[in-house]
Amino acid sequence: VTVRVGAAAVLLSIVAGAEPGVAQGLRGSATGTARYYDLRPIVRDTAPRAEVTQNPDGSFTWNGIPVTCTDVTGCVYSRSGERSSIVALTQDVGFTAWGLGLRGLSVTALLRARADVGGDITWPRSDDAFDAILAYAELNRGPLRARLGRQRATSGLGFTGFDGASALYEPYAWLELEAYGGRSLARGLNEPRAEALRPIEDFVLDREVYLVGAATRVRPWDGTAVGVRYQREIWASRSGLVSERAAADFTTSRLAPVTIDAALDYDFAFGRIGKAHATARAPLGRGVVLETTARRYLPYFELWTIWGFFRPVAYHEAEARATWRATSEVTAWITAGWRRYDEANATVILRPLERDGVRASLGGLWHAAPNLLVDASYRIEHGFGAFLSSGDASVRWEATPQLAFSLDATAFQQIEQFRVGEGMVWGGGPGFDVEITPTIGVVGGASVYHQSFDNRPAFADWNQVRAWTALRVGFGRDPGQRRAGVAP
Amino acid sequence: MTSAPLRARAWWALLIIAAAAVAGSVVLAADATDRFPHHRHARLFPLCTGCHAGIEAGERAQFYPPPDNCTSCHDGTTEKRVEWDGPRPYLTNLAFEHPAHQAVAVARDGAALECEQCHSVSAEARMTIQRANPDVCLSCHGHAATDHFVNALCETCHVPLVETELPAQRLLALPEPTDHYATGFVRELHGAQALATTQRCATCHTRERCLACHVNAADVTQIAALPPAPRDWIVPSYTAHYPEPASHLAPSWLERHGAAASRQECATCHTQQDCTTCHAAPAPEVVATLPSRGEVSAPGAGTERQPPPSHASRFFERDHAALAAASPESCAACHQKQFCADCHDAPLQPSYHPRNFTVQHASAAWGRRLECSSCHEVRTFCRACHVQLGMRTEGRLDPGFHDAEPLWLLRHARAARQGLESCTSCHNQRDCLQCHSTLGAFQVSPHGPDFDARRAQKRNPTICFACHTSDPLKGTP
Repeated sequence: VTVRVGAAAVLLSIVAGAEPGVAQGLRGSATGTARYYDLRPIVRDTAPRAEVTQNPDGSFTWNGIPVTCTDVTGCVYSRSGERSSIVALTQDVGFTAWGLGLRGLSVTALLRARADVGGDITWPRSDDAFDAILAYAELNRGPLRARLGRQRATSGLGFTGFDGASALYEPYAWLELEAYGGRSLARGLNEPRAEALRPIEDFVLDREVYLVGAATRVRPWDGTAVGVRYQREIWASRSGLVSERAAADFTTSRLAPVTIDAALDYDFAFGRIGKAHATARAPLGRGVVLETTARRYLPYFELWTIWGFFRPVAYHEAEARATWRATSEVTAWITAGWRRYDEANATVILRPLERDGVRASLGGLWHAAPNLLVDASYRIEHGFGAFLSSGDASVRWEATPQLAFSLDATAFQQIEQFRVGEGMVWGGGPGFDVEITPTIGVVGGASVYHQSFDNRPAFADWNQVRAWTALRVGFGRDPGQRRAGVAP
Repeated sequence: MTSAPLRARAWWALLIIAAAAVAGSVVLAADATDRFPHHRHARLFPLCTGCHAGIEAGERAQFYPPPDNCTSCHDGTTEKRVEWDGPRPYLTNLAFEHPAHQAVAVARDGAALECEQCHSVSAEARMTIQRANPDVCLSCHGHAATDHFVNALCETCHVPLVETELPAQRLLALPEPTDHYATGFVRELHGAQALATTQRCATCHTRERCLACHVNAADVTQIAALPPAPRDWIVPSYTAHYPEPASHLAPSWLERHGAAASRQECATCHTQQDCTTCHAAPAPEVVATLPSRGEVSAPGAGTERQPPPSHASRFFERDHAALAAASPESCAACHQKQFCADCHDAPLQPSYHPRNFTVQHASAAWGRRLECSSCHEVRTFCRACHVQLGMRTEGRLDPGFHDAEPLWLLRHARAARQGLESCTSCHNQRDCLQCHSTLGAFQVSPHGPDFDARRAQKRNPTICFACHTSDPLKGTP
């Protein structure tokens, strides 16, 4: 924490102390968000064994409530707990400063502070009061971009944060070369793994992890680009790798009007392709665009966990999507996909688990008036262990360019994987968006969701309240803007 | 409240304007009336050409008699003295020449026109004359003119403005045709009229009038045909008018304008700078074909940067990735690469999911279109909430949660392999190791039939000891 606070202090002092006479510029924003959530945790309870009935399929019920009975645990079941709440505050401050006396030098930082100010439940990560998510200096000189500090590499391998250095070199307009390395951070946590994960997980070595990576991107023709990336993370003790992966992507519009993009990642440790997709899009005329996708999905787990060794299986999916722009005010789309999971090679007991899944959705967008937008969608999905039916609708009305109101409604089936009963949620609420000045805005909203449960008497229907508001204050201006007074 | 000095100045201004108006009227009226009392000389001069000898030949020097002709009688003795030193310069923009006009009349009618036919006031005595007025011209030039300023063919009688001898004062006082005030004149009518004939325009305008508005003046033949003002003229500074075409008012215009964009379609009103107000570099190719503001006299219509309607969608934040992937050039029209990097690389605005995403995050995670772990550390980010909400394991082989499946513990393997991410959002590794380790209750191997143990061990041998008490590959080839 001391290091992080120190780094932030150094960055701030650089910005504050820079000579104003050297065309100093600063662009950034501060966003404070407050959230309130109602929640009812699930609690375990026990049922008297003598009153439990065993059903023909082997399951147990007690007064209509599904219970699970073993010799070890007795008969237990889950039910709704008491209403709890969360009141959490998040404050983000992000900025880029330039004009620090050296041409092409800038400093970027994104700092986040969190606090739980009420309620019984901790908002995720709010036990960590302060994070320097990004804090790096960047030097742009012609075809070279170099960064030093806390940064992240964004690619088909996900977001990889690290404290270190990176260089991006573009010797020609058609070629990019990138290399980076440093101390690896736990994904999404912006902290060294040992520090971030040890309190909650076993098998976390008390060692640093180092990251190295390289990438290249080639644009051989207009409208065509190919990228390849290799990345590995290794324990500081060199006792083993945490990850060794590669990713490739390809996009082309050379077959215009058909455009194609494809990507995949590869895990060297297990010798298998993780996620991959290939998508082709083509306009069919009369405002219709057809998009077809073939997709493979296999989750990735780092080598310091046991999960990757459990041989997760991939699903392969074919999906089609048609978008129809009926008029300039009305757009509709429909999509459908079918997937199949690879053979899991697991023993079948009682009955096999579904390996197939389907999903479909449709929606539309209607500009009822220049300042009135109606948006609605519905999707249905059937897969192993659960079924989803979900609909959304929203209306957004811009009373003035600075003031907008929205009304959202949603209804969906709550995902209850491998659980008896069906949960239904419906509700919605109003929202607002006020631009007080071009750089100061307030957004907020509140919603109420009614959650009901079928076939699950231990879970009482209830209304959940959610509310949130955020104040965003922008400062500085976008150096890319050509006109003063245009909101960044 | 208006101060007294201001009021005084206003009165002076009104007075000057009124005086100028009266004086102007007198001058113009004098121009139109006969200053020489022809009728009093009716019996003295039998022929017009006696004094206006040069008319028939078109010799301007002899249009009027020399002053000596007057003083021969008006010498102060025979007749009272008259001070006349010759005619004032006759400044006009008329294209009329007497000899040519007579030639046409002779060719058409077989006889020359008499002076009285144009200059005599009808029903008056002989030599009650006037200058020929437009109505007289139009009485013979019988085209369909109903309005001298609108329907007449100006060039029939008038020379282009640049050829006139009229002083600036009279140029500025040239009457404005009533059709110039018609609705849609600037937007539609004037262009059609100019296409039909630029000569009408040239009667009152020089090329500079077009250059004041037309960005693409160099492309327009009709404008090029219009003579420019002589260099010694001081051309007024005209105000550019850019009425918005009907097409621009369509709700989807902003999204569709790219398809219709061309120099021919846009450059009448727009410069490159109008495009680059919104289009970030590299701008579409058509932008470079438009004239730059520095190259032309016209200022261009000007544009305001504004987001397209799609951005107003509540779901845009969530759906923009697909749009961006489908048409990155569309994004690049307005956004620079850094704009994307603000969130995706160096997030100054760290919001990826739509607002209130947590309501449906369970279904999104279950659908697995996106990989949550690309950005989130599942073991902390997901479990932090799930464990607090009761979705956790308590004790050894805790059943309870997945109660739809009898014998869940025996049947969970396939579900785990198909949805292992979901498992890890609630369970930690120790939960699994209760059975899946050499020290576990059942010592169930989780590896599967095609597990390449050596390959995995080569990259991280330490993880083997999470389940195995000794090197599982020791002694194997």
